[in-house]
Amino acid sequence: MSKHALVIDDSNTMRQMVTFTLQDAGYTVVEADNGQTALDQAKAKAFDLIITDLNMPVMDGITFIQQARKDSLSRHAPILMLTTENAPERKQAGKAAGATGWIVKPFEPATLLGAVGKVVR
Amino acid sequence: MTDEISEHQARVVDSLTDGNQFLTFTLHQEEYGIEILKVQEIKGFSRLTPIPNAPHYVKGVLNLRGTVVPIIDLRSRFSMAEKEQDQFTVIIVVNVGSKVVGLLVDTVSDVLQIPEEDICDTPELAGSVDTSYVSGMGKVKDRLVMLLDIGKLIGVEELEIVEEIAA
Amino acid sequence: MSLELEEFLLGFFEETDEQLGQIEEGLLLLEKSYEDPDLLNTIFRAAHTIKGNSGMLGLPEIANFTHRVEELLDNMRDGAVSPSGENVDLLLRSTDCLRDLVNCAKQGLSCETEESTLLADQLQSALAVSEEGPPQTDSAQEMPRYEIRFTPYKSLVRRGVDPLLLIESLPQVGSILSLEMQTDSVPDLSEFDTQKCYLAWCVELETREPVQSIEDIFEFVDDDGQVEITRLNPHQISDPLPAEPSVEQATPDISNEPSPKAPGNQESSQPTVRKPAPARSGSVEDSNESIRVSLKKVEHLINTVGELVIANSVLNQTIGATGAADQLPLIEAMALVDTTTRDLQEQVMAVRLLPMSTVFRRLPRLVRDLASELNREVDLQICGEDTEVDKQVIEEIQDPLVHLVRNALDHGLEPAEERLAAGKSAQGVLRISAFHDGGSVAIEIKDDGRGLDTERIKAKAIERGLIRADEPLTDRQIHALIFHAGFSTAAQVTKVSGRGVGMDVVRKNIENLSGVVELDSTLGKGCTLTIKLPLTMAILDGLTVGLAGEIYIIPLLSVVESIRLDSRQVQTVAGKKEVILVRNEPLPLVRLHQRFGVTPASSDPCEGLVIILEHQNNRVGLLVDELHGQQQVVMKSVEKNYQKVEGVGGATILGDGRVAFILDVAGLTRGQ
Repeated sequence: MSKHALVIDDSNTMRQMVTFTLQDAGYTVVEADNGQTALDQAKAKAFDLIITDLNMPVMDGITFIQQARKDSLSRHAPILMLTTENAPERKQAGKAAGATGWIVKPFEPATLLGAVGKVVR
Repeated sequence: MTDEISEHQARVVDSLTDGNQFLTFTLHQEEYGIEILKVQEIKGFSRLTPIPNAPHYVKGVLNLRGTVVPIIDLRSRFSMAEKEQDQFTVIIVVNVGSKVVGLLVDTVSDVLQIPEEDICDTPELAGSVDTSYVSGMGKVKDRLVMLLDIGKLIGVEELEIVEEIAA
Repeated sequence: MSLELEEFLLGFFEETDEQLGQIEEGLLLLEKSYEDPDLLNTIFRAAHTIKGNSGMLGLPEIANFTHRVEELLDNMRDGAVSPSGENVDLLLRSTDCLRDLVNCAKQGLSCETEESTLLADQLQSALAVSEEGPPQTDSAQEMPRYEIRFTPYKSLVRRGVDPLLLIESLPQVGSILSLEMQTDSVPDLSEFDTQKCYLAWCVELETREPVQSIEDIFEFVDDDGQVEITRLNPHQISDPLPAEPSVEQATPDISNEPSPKAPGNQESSQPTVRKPAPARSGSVEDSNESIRVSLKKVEHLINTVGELVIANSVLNQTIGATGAADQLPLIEAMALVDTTTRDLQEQVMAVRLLPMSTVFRRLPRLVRDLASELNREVDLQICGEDTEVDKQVIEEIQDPLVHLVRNALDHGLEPAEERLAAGKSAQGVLRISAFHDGGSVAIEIKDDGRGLDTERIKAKAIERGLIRADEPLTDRQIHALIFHAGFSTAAQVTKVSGRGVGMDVVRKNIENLSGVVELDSTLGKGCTLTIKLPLTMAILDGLTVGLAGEIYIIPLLSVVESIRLDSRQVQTVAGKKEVILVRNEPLPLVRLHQRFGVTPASSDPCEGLVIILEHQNNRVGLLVDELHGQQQVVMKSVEKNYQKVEGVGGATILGDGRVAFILDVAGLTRGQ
């Protein structure tokens, strides 16, 4: 019974990196490239893990986290956000919105899995 | 009339589905064919630069859009009487292995679809062509087309062996 | 595999090759100058980058192996392990192994070999030795203990962080000696706020891992909880009196292990963290701005420019033929196109130019290994690395160069004792330099070793029937005999240089590049080998001559002069060989029409034109019909679609679209 993850990033490359890594670790991954489609997904299913970028078109990551936490089947899911080095206020905003953890870009797969391990059983 | 058209249509349909297509050409009024897949293009004659100390059937090289391509006179290769080159002379440019080579022929005819069952082994003919270059005889209506093995003809292996010895 | 991943991998392989080169260079320098912190940092960074990238791209074996290398380098940086010869040697071998692993990855094979496992263990052992180093409490046997107090806040739970999960992660870092959960704050059920966490934990953990590892576990707590990590004295029992000033709070910005690309992000780190932050400022070796371009694109570009050169030539000829060439505006316009085309051509050829350093960078390592194997002491001097040469030339010159260096070390330089006995310094000098010389690039390999023994070579050559005993030969000519196949005067054919067949293959390879090899040697003093190569393979300046109605091109580089003979200058020697006298110097006459089997305009040398050619200090007079002029030509291959033709080095397309052959001067002057 594999775990389900939702990966959200408008960069194909980044999204694929994360997806590959999670798939290697046994996850079934659903991808989305903006906050809105992601939210639709989150409302339809209780994911075991959500990994999201913050800068996205249509609906940005912070808004997604807020909405997902408010009203979706995945509102209790651990959410990891992908942050960049020089944006500490984004991280704070993300936390305030309800993000469980964060990973700084760019990162090694091991780091990603390490972070995942801290928030998912 | 309708018969001809439908026969033509049938041929077209055939040619689209089968791989046995040959470009036919004439040498000394005899018909020959080579696999269409190996043919790169057909060119008119242009001035050749003779290659020093080359075999008699290698008539020289020409410039094909910036590439130097050797030209083999098939009449000479098959020890037939040679013909003067003029503006009607045709060169079939073929691509064999990694080499591009031009074949000097009399005229180029059709692209023919010759199904497997119409190709038979070459009998021991006292013909003008060395049968080692012939891959089979194709029967088209009431004609016989001699199908040539391009690789052997150009002596791709042959050339490579020569290179090794010279090295 | 997705297309993007493939692209990433290609970029990774290229980058990793560079990094490996940097590591090797750095290690070799390290041997000479210990304790240079910058050097160690550079080497460490390169290894770190490889580790990060390989990890990111799904090459865990490479990442793991590199991690071991990185660990040892890290120890060296801290001064915990010394960069001793042994350790550097181990690292060099590991670098080699890493290269092999990367090559396996390139071919899609598994990236783990017996050697890599062996080396990984050795690297690990090299580490363990250093564990005595770091300041611990007196009994080095005792493992450090920490007390961890963790109190989550309400906000933590709201974020979905599971405190239990964090506690459960602690065994990954060390052994839990005691665990206590504090339930004092838990209220009655009626007052229970489900979104709040009323629990706290106190854990005693024993671990050799650095504090960072513990802090890592609580990374996501941030300021939504309290985390206190205290180092305990060996005799302490859960008393939060710090043994070292290491009261830790999970500070907001300690993030993951520095990822390869993160610019300096360690400012907020605590004083106790031992590792100096690898401050990744943008100070990477090569700060030139550049972009990667596929070789195919460059070749295509060069071909197209070549076509432009020809088209320009056609244009000139066509206009010339119409007689419209007299009109001034037309002449000016054509001149402009001509200059611009030449300019473009130069620039495009320059794109393919690479510095010789790409070839030279292998040498220090090679020389070091060989010198130690052959027991020679060598001072390697390299200069002219910036000299730029065509990429193709660089590729083809690598092997011959390596062989010549091997030869110089094996046969040229003597062992220390022999040198001292001869009154030389114990250390031999091997100087390799590259420089531009006219239209060519020259590579010089100079050693101050034994030099060539003219007498011995002569004797050997006579023995092998290469020359006659009474043949009058200059020393230079005798020396040149070593380039003959099967020639080797080495007392023992060592496994390093291989058989005598080496030198003739080297010369052949260089000649295939239209280059020459020259030797200059003095017995007892040393030997200088000079390789001269054309700057570029594709375009050359040629003399256009006519013979039997066809046009041939002679590379201008090999042309000395062209002369018309009068009958007194032509003589026949021994009834067969024809010789011409040029300023009283006899030169062999080569009748091109005979070589090519064509009928010349006239077979009388005095009616034709003689071009004096020079190749490797050999001069001949080449008889042709007439001289047409001089032009720049784009070299095309004849072998590509046909085969090698004797006397012909290549072909070109003339202005009128015809093919003209370029003569092979080496081939024509040989055997004369």
